[in-house]
Amino acid sequence: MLNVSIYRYNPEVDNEPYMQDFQFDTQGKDLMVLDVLEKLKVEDPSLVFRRSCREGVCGSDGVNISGKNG
Amino acid sequence: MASLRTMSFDAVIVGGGGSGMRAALQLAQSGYKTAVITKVFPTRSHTVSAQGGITCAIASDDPNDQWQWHMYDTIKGSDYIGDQEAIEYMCQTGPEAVFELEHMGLPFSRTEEGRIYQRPFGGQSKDYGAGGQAARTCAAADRTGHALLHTLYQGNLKNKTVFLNEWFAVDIVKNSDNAVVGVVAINIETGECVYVKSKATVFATGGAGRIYASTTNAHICTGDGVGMAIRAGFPVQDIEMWQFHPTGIHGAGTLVTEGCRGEGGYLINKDGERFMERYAPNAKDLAGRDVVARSMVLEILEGRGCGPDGDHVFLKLDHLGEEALNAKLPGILELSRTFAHADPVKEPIPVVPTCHYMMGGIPTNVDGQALTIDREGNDQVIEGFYACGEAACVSVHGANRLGGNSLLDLVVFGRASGIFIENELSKGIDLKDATQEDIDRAMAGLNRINASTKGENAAVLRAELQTIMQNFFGVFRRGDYMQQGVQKLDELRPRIENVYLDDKSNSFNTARIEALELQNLFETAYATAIAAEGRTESRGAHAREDFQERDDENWLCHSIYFPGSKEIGKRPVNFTLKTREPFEPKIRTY
Repeated sequence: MLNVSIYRYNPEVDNEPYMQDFQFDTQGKDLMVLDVLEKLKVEDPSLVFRRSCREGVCGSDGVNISGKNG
Repeated sequence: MASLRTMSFDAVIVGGGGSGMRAALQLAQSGYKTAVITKVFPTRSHTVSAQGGITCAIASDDPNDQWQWHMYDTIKGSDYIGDQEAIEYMCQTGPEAVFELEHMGLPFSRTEEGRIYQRPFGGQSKDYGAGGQAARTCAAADRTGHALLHTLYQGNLKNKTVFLNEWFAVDIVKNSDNAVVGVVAINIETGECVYVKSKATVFATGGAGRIYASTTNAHICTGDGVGMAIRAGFPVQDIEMWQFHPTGIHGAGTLVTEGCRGEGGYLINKDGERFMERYAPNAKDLAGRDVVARSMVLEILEGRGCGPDGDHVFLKLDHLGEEALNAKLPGILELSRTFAHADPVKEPIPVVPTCHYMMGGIPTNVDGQALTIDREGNDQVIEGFYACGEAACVSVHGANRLGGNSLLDLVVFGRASGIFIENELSKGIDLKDATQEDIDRAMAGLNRINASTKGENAAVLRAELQTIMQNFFGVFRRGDYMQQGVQKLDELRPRIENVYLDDKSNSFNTARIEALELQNLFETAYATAIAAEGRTESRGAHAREDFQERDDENWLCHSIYFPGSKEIGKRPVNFTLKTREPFEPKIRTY
């Protein structure tokens, strides 16, 4: 089980950003962080992030993960 | 119905990839009021991931190289349904277009003498196939697309192109003459819908690899231009022709460039045999991609595949040496380590044919003008509408594209469209304005999604669509399976049209964008299915178990999918070269 904590903000609804916690079962598979985010979006379609190439060349999905930029 | 805000331009380009930005650059330099609508920041466009290079007869590696040899290779590569005059134009104009890029600052890899580095690539020969392998693909390491895209973006910044970044074009607006007068687009950040009015609308919207479950394509490759064209009632051409790239990483689908084989790498089966020696004795691993992909699938089906499930083969590179790999293929070293957990310095990469490129698309002439077919079966220009790049079908790739020809296609025809439109604008373009009804019609799909109160989730429907395409319309096709596939798609259509948008907020709502993209994916997939089932022969990338031979008597032509009737027709291939006699179709072997 993976604890995923995501910085969320909907300007139409929220006064300020907040961290939202998700639980994700990787089923022992070796997943990329982006794969996890895509699966979480199916559960919560309001979760928004940029992404495109999914192979680390376009730069769309650069985010700060556990304190490191990646 | 409240009317939308209107923004007016002389030219609007939908799509900020290699082709869109080359067209935009041409028009920005001309001084006409031009805007690029792009659903991602331009440098994120899928062009950025092109690896191997841009094939062009600049005579760097071989001073005796001729563009005519490149033309022959491309015509043969297309399995003879590429339009010969378009291919002639592309190969002849190519060097000019490539040197322009070099002057813009594209950081090509260089030889000792300082000339542009060219590597061998699939299907490239000297002396019309008689003189052995040619090295004609100009490269910037294995990141040529990245270099090209960033160079073009910088050029556009320099020339002050107007960018509407992270705007999603929803549908084409047509006037009462059935001419294209712009698009309705959503500003993704704010959710605002705007009518972007234009005298010339260019679709450079890229491919649609995401109709398949396993693809080298980015998430954004959803066939938006094809979908919008089909909804506007415009036909698409050769849409059954999908290239499965031989070397996508097994599992991830990530692309491993043909350049690996160009640099001396080769494919092996579970017995360590270099099996391409059997299938293509001359070109071996550098035969046309369709030939290599089919060979790999046959090896797997005949029980010589690798891995515990025997469902892939290996690409061997270790014999090239660590130094050469670091210098020439640094990108794929990283990709293989990350996605295949295989270090090419020591071990082979597990690969499998993966959906990669859409040869078909919006039919155009050499000037980029989009075409339809009138009742008598003649070509008719669609006023106000243009296409270039992967979304267009000029056709320079016919039934199979050669590696490196896509980047060339992008810049040559992006430039050609820009030049032609500049000329038209200088003569004066006068199209009837769209009425409120015309604009409302373009909003219909979006309005339906915004009003949805029940239905299924877009991501779930998308996965179902991809599975159908992967299983029924892959590397090898069969009539009865395809008919089953069409039936499944017929059942899926209403479910997709009634997709449920749960989150209807306005700020950067990507769920709404994915619901709209799903419609485009479906139209592209459906057209593919109908055209694939309809073309009763094997040619290029379209391989049928029930019609294994090429049938020049009945099918030496383009297929045309008509959205109204959802049927396919035929359109003649061009066989008129300006500089010589046309190339006659021959049996295609490597």
